[in-house]
Amino acid sequence: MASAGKNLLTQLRCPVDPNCFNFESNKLRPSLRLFGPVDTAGPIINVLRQASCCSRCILRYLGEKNIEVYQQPRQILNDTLESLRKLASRDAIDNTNITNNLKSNTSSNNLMQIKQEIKEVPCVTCLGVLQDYCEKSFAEEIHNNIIQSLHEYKDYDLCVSLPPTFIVREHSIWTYLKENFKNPYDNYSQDEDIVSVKEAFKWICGGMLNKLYHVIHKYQSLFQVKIEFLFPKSETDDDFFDNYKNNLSPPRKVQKKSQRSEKNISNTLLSATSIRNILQTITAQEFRTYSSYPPKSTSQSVSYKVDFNRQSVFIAGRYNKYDRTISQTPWILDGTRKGDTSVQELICDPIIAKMKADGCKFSSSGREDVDVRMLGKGRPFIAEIVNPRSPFMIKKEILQLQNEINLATEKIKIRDLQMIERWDTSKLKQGEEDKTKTYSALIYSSEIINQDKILSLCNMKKRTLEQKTPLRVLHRRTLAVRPRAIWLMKAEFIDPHHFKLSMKTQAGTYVKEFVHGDLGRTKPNLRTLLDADVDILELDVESVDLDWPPEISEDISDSG
Amino acid sequence: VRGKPHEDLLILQHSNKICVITVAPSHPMLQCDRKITDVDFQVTPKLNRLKNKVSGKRKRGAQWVNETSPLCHITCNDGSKYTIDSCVKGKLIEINELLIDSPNILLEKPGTEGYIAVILPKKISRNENDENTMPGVDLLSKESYLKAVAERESD
Repeated sequence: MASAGKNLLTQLRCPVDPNCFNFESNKLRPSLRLFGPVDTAGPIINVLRQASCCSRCILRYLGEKNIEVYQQPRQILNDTLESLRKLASRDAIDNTNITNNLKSNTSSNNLMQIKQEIKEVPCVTCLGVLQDYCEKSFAEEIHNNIIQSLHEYKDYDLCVSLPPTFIVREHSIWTYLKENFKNPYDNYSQDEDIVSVKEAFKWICGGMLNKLYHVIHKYQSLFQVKIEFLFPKSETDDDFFDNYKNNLSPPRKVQKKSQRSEKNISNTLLSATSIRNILQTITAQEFRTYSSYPPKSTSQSVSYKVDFNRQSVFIAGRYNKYDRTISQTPWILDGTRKGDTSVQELICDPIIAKMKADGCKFSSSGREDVDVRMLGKGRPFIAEIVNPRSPFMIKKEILQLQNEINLATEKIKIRDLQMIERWDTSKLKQGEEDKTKTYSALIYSSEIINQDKILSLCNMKKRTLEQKTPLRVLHRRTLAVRPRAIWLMKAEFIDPHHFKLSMKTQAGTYVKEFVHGDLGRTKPNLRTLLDADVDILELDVESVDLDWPPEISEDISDSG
Repeated sequence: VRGKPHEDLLILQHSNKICVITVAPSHPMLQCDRKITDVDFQVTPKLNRLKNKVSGKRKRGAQWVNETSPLCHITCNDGSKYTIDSCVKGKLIEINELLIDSPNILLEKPGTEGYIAVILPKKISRNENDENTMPGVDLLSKESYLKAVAERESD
C-alpha cells in the first residue's frame, strides 16, 4: 500500500507540464490527508465553491498540508475536488459558472479530457495569490526581473507581504466555516492547523523557481526576493473598515490629534496589528454587522511589487597613505567639499563598480589627520559593500582589483585585500584601547637643541600623560581627561633647530598635542619636558600594531 | 571693553569655531611689573565659574555666557582690580584652573598656558556671512587691533 502510494507521488512529480502524460485526477485523491475522511469533504467543498474559493484555498481549509499536493497544476486540483464533491452528493448543484477559460497550458485542451471547466474568478480568500501567481509565467517574470536588476544568485529567500485585507477575509471564511460545519472546525484553530496563504505560495513559487532555474530556496539566504502584494483600497473589505470606524467613539481619537484625526483613524485601522487585535475581541455577531461572511467577492486580484536585496559582503585590507592633502572620508564643510578625493573613495569606488553595489560603509582601525602620512604595513580597514549585484570573487580577481586600485593613484596603496565574513568585522575594533601605534614626528625648536636633554628624555621608561580633549576636536567630543601611555621614544638630530622623534604610544594618544601641549591641557608635554618652545612640523604614522587582517601572499598560483 | 580704557582681550578662534579667551598684550595688567594675588571665579554672589560642569558632546549643563558676562575678577598686588568678560556668546566649556594655583602664569604666558577660558560659540545659521560668527560684537581683526593700539600710543 505504501509503495503504491509512493509510485503515485512520483508520477505526479511533474507540476510544470501536465501535458507530459495523460492521467486522471482520481489518482491524486488517495494521497490527500484531510481533516476528515475524503468522502466527507463534499459538502465543505460545495459551500466553499459557492463562496468563490479557489482550489488551493479549499484544500487548505480541508486540512491538506502536503507541499506536493499544492504544487500540482490547478486543473488537476480542480478535477480532484470535483470528483470529491460528486462522491459526497450525487445530486450536487452545478454551482460555478461554466466557461472555457483556463490559464497557461491551454493548448493541450484535447489531451486533458476535462469534463467541466471552472471559470477562475479571483478567490475571495487569497485574492489570486494562489491562482495566477502560482503559474510558471509568474516565476519566469520574477526571474527575469532579477536578471534585469543585474543580481546573480544561486540561492534565495522569499519574503512575502500581504495586504491587511487578508486578515479580515481569513477571519470571515473561518467564521463562516465554523458556523456551517461545527465538526470539524470547532476543534481546530486557523493559525495552527491550516496552511497559510503565504506558506502555500512560497512552496509553489519556490518550487517552480528551483526547478526552472536550478536555484535553491533557502531560509536565511543572503539574497532576498521581496514580493509585496497589493490590493487597491477601494476593493478592500470596506464594509468592515467603514462600519467599524463609524462605531468607534469619536472623542477618544479626535482629541489626541486635531486636524489629522480623519486620516489617523483610517490609518490606525488599516494596520495589520490593530486589525488582529480588533478581530480577537469582537464576537461573530458583531463581525456580521461590520462585514459580510463569507467574504465579499471581487473581480480584481492582487497586484504585486517586487524588490531584491543581497546582504552586504565585507572586504578587508590595509592601506598606506602617502599624501598630506586628502582626508580619510569625504570632507564637507558648510556645504562645500574640501579636498578633491578621500581615502575612502579611492578604495571603495573601484570595489563598488566591480561588484555593482549600491554603496559602501568604510571603517578602519583608527584614523589619521589629513596632513599625516600612513607608512609601514598600513592601517587595517573594512569596507561593507551594500547590496552587491555580483558578490562572488575568486582570489585572482581580488588581486586584480587590488592592483587596479594601486595603479590608479599615488596617494594611497592597499594590500592584503580579502573577503571576510560578517563576524570577522569585530576584530577591527578589538583592543582599541590597548593596542599600540608608532609615530615619527619632525619637530622644530626655536632655541638651539640641547641634545643631552632630549636623549635623557628618551632613556626614560614608560611615561604616562594626562590629555584633556584637544581644542581642535572639542566641538564634537566630550570634554574629558584621558590617561595615555608612551612606551618608547627615540631621537634623531637633523640640525640645531630640528630633530626627529620616534615614539611608540598607546592607541588614542594625541601626538600633536603631546608635542605642543595644547595650551597646557596635555601634561606632561614636550614643551614642559624640554623647557623649550617646540612645535611639530610633520607627523607620520609608522605602524598600527594590529595583527589583522591576515597577510595575503600575492602568489596567484594558490587556489581559490 | 565695557568702557574701561585699554582693557583688551584677545580671542583665539579655531576653525572649528571654538574660542579661547586670553588677555591681549596691550592690557594694563601686563604693562607694569606686577603680580597677581587672586583670581576669583565667583563672579556674582550666585554664580561661580568653577562650578561649571559640562557633559557629553553637546556640552550640556554648561553655563551660558554672552558678550558682557564676567568670567573672573583679578586682583593684583597693588590693589588694582580687573574683570575679564567673555566677549563671545555661547557655552562656557572650560576655565583655566591653572590660574587658581599659579595665577602669575597669566602674566608670563598670556597667549598660551595663561588663557582664561574656552567657549563654544552659539551656532549661527548658514545663511549668515561666514566671517561674522559673532554678530553684534565689535571684534577687531589683527590689523585693526594693531592700528588701534598704535593710535593709542600716539595720543
